[in-house]
Amino acid sequence: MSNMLIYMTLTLGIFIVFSCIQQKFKLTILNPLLLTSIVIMIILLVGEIPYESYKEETSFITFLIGPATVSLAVPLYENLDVLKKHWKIVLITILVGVVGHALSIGILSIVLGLSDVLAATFIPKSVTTAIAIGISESLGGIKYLTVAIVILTGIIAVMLGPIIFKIFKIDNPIVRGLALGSSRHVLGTSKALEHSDLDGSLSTLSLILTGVITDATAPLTLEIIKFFIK
Amino acid sequence: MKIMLQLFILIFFTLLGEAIAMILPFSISGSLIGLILLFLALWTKVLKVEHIKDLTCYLQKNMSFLFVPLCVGLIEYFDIVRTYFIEIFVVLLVSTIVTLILTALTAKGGVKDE
Repeated sequence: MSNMLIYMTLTLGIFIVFSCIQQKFKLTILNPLLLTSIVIMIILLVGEIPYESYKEETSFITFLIGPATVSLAVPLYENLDVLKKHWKIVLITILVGVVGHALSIGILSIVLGLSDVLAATFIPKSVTTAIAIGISESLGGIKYLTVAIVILTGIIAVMLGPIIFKIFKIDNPIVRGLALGSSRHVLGTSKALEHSDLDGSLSTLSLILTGVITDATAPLTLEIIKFFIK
Repeated sequence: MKIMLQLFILIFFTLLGEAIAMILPFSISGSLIGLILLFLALWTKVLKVEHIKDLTCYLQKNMSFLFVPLCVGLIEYFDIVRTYFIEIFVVLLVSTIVTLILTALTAKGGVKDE
């Protein structure tokens, strides 16, 4: 019996159970991704199974992130007309998002006295996982912590998004899609896709542009933070 | 056969993106280039949406499942998480809320103007 079979069955099975639970109770905090990961961590700890072995046997799942990210071109294309109509607001919102995020990470790193390694880990926080890994690595951050932080950012944004939208009385799908996309990543977009294609398309666009702009400005952002840390 | 072709198209564009990312002098994610290339292929009508629609819907609806193995990787960094728990928590929460509010308000203001 192969380990791959066991790990894949476990991962898929646990995820399905938590997805059903979430569908029943409709609570964002019952996030299937978060809960499945926690249960598997407990299983690995109790069974004294090294993460490396789990990672290798489930690499097929991780492999699909690439094609799934590429496939986001479809909702983007399907809503091209909407994007053409709203390109100004899209660009401005994304720029504000990228600069605001970089500033908040910079200020917090300085105030909390974080090391430049941790700052580098946090800089790609609001970018889609696949891109975030590359940025974190090239900046000298901790790749795995970045992955976890990116996912947690997504979960926090998915959980707090509706509350913040309620407080600021935001019900426009354009605003919702933009805010979700540029403060987060693929996780946020897949959530937005559940609302309507317009949300999803704008999230996708802000995801792409946020990724590109963050990727291009990340080295500069880190240099500025480093300057102030010292 | 249909789903195989769809899978081939998506994987092909992912590969193309990765290959181009390796050649480019600056660091940029391969899947990002793949996404842009696939978009261009659709835009120039080289490909039709129907060619990849089924698999695309399937992948995007189940996207969060794909991150499970990576999320479990946090297990390797319990020490760092424990040492910097408060710092990580504060940065996570504050910067996410700040960014969310900033973008939401900017977008809201922009929509009003339009």
